Amino acid sequence: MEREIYLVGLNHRTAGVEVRESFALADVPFLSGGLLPVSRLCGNMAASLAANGRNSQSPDQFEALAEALVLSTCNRVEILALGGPEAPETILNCWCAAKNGQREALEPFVYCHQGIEAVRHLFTVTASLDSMVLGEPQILGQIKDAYREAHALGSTGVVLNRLLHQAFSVAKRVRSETGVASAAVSVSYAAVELAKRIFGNMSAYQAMLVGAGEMAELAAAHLVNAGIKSVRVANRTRQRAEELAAQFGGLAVPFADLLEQFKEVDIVISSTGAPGTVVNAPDLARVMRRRKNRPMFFIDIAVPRDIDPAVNDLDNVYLYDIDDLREVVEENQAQRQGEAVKGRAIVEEEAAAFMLWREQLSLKPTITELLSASESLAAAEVERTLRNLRALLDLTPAQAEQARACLEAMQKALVKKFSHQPISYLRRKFYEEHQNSAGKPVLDEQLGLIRRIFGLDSLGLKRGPGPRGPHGPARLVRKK
Amino acid sequence: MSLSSFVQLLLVLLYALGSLGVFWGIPARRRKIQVLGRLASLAGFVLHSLILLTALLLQGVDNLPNGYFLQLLAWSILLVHFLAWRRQGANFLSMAAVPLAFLLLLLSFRLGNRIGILPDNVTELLFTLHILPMFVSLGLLALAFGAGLLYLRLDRKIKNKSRLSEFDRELPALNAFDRVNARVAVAGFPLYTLALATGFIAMSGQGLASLPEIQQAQMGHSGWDPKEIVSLVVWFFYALLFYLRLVKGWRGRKTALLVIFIFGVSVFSLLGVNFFLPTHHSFSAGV
Repeated sequence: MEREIYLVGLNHRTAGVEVRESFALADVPFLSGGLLPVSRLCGNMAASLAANGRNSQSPDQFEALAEALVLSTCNRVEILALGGPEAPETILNCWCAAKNGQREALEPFVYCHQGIEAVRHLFTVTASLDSMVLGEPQILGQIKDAYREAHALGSTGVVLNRLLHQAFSVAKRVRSETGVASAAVSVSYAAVELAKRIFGNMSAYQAMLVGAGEMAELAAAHLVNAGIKSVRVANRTRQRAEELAAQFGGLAVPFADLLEQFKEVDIVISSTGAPGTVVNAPDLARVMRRRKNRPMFFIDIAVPRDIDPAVNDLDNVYLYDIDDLREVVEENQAQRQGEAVKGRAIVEEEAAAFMLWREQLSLKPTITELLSASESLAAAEVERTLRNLRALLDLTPAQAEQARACLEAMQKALVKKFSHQPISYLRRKFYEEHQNSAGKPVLDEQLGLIRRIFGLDSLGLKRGPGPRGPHGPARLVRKK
Repeated sequence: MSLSSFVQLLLVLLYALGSLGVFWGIPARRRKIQVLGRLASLAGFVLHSLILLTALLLQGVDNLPNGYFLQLLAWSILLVHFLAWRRQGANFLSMAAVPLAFLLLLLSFRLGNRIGILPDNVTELLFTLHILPMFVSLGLLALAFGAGLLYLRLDRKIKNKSRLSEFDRELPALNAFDRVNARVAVAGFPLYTLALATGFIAMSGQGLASLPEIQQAQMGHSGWDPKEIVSLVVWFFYALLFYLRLVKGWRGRKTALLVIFIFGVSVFSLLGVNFFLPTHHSFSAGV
């Protein structure tokens, strides 16, 4: 049975918030409760079987998934699985059953990817290239959590383990090699990034919040996160000033004392409701002299503006108003889009690498099986020969041990030398295929031939005592 | 190939590799290339120190070829750069310092092995109190020059609300560049004063008569050596920078402009005056 990687899901682009809500899987023990038939999970499969319209009396017809992982966030629900051609059907049925919903309500919003498409999609999502805000950091953590859960349950195996680990390293690559996650895409964060460009290490500087408002408070919070020394708050209402000051662990200062405060403060976030300017250029020039010209950064979020624009012309004073900040954010967003192209190229590269690994996976088991089949044959012969030798030569236990050692050495050498040819041939063929892209079918045929010749595909191999002699090893009894 | 030629070639290669490494690796953000560049410049610096020291010991202070001094200048720039690097950790310095040192090295070969005409009593003392402080303070000026240029660039970008690129984000902050300016003003000015003072003392000690006739003739009537005049000009502006920063508390744009101006005059003093004007520092005279 040929197993493929399948990814079935919906996201903020394909489904509205109501559909995402009704079919979210975060609150449902989809994997742990056995609602999805994963053969590695020895839990109760009855529920999932029933969902697929099968009863437990006919397990042979039912195709369980080999491995599975479930990701459910507010913007997407995705189910990643390794299974046969019926896997998408299985997943869809179980999903609906788990949420007590109708297939018709779910199916139109769902996408289904297979093979390299699925790998590509997963890498794209993990690298935050599919998120609402390009380059956002949360999705990586969410996928890591989903993987941790699935892994702990045991629903992931060789393929998904490798796939997810590679997804994490792809995300890291995209973040470090492209600028997709670098520049700020919110007004408040953009302001703080600018402050960092001016002041560098924030711990030696002080900030002041004049007025109040969501964006201003957010900017102040970012500054605190960045390690700023202290935050003062000035507001026309003393009480409001004190509330905000408590929030930032700072001091409330009188609104009337603004210019005095400016002597000690380096960053000012201004967001009052005043109809005119609160700070004008000539006053500030005086303040700058008293400050020995230490630089000041004004973030004017208010509309109408609080700070006289002429302030920007003063030496060592920098002023950004709300429009300037919005422009920065727009530029950064555009830059992220541009960088996303680079990110997608990385995703493509890594997806191809993963698929190559997967293909080799079918070669490797063959080689392993070939070796182990030869080993077990040879081991049986060694035992038999040893018995005969002991009888024939009347060996002491010590001598018998020595004889065994010799025979085992011969066994290993024979197996190695005997398998060397077919294995080398396969490996050579494998790489040749990939050089010429002559197509997979030829390699598969040859793999199949080797497997048939050495009887690797037959289950329940019976090695009977066949005729021994110059014609080679015991005849294998095949069960087809 | 003689040992000395081999060693010189090795030095050129190391500095070239260093320059290539930092000039390519830093903007392209390729860590391995950056590290390679830095290691090469460090190795070159160590080798260069050995070369300069050996030459000094073997040939004696009064027998050094003209090229030696340019190499000493290159070495000083790298010295300052390595010291500053350890404190600030900024690799943008390498981008300026290493290629500059490399160019000066090449230029020093161009000067050849001509030994310049120096006054009779060039001694070890003069070397340590005049030449070395002069070069180190020039190295510091070069550092401040680079920092000043970058300061002005970033300052203008922020004032004009221009887009900051990836590279801009990796450079140090505005305040860091200004701090370099401050440190150079504080450290470089006393050094320069010392260098200048000892130079004048050395000259006045012997007077014009000690100079070879050819140079006496070139210097003309005023008896004022062009190099001395220009050096005084530099000293004046350096003093101004020192005063403005420390006493008046100036910082930022104006001090950056001032340091750029001072460096410009110093470069003129070194290249223009030494090469083209008649002076006892001249590189063009000599056997």
